[in-house]
Amino acid sequence: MTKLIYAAIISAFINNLVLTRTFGTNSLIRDSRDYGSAIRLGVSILIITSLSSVITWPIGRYLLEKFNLSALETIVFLLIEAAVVWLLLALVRKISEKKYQQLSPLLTLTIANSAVLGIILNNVSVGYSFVRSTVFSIFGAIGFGITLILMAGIRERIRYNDVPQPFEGVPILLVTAALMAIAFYGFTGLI
Amino acid sequence: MSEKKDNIFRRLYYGVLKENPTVVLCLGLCPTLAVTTSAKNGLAMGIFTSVVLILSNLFISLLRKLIPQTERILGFVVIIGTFTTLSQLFLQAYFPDINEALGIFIPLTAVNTVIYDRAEKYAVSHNAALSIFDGIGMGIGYTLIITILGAIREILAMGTVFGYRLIPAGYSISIAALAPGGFIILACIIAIANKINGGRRL
Repeated sequence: MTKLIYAAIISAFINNLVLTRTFGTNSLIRDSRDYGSAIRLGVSILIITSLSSVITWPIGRYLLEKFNLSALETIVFLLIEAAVVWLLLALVRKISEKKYQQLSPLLTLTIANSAVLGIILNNVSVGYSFVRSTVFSIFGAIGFGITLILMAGIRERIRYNDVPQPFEGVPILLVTAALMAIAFYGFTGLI
Repeated sequence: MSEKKDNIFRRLYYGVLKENPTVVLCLGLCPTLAVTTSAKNGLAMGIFTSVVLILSNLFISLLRKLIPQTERILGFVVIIGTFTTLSQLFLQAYFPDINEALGIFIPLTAVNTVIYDRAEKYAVSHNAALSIFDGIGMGIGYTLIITILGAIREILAMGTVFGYRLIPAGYSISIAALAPGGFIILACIIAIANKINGGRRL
């Protein structure tokens, strides 16, 4: 149990996906405009990653590896991700048509998000057990969401600051991410 | 932009300079930041991504009438995923050391935003020849920046470029090889490009 708690803290803070492994940097920059979009993306990535990781682990271990088809991992996992997104969208549509219209473009783009595929591929290639890989996916996605929300907050402050003209837009966000990453290295002392 | 005005030279110019995927469109940052700890890795990743980009641009352009508008992302996923897998197998067979060095970021090419952006904004609405040259232009632009970034990080972190020593061992800034160094150096490159362009982009 303590091992799992350690694994959770490590995957959410110490090995933070965006800041130490740069998975999903694009969504960090594109979707952190305000708290609303950051939370929406964080929650959808959490749901999609945990569901797809639960499905992909047995398929990767017992189907692809057994029949020596590991080369097909990437495309099989991408299709599973797409299926999960499609199911979620069908569910949202049942609940409300308006929400569906709102979430459809965001969720479709999540299929091609490097954070989701990165977590799933990493789980299989490192060879974690089922429980460990599920914990890693859930807390990895939570860490990603936290980073997104923090970024949205910092962005709100940047809006009122005088940024040097060439650094306006993406460069200042990258510098912010760098400083956040250095701050996150402080968590290494936690365990 | 109408198809008549567009030609292959314009595509190359746009890909390398005017709409450079990394510094102007700011796409594909995940592999750009992750693998550029050395110039060699950057160059290898750039070439790998370019090959997948050109092939998928060609096929998406050829199949553009068959891919339904509403499910086009799914079509892109299948096509790009297939070419990534094929190229990865080629790499594993002929350049196993590069495959080892780039690791998980090789399969992650299947979700590279540069490739999706070009598929969505260009290949899906233009003919095959133009799409190939769009892929070549974007590929050269991407490879150029990713190699420069790799070279700068390698000089700062290890004092070498492509393995040739420029700065004596012992004088190094180790953070340049870590993620924060990558973020800051890429930010500086984009800022310099913005300054040269004269205006604010994005």
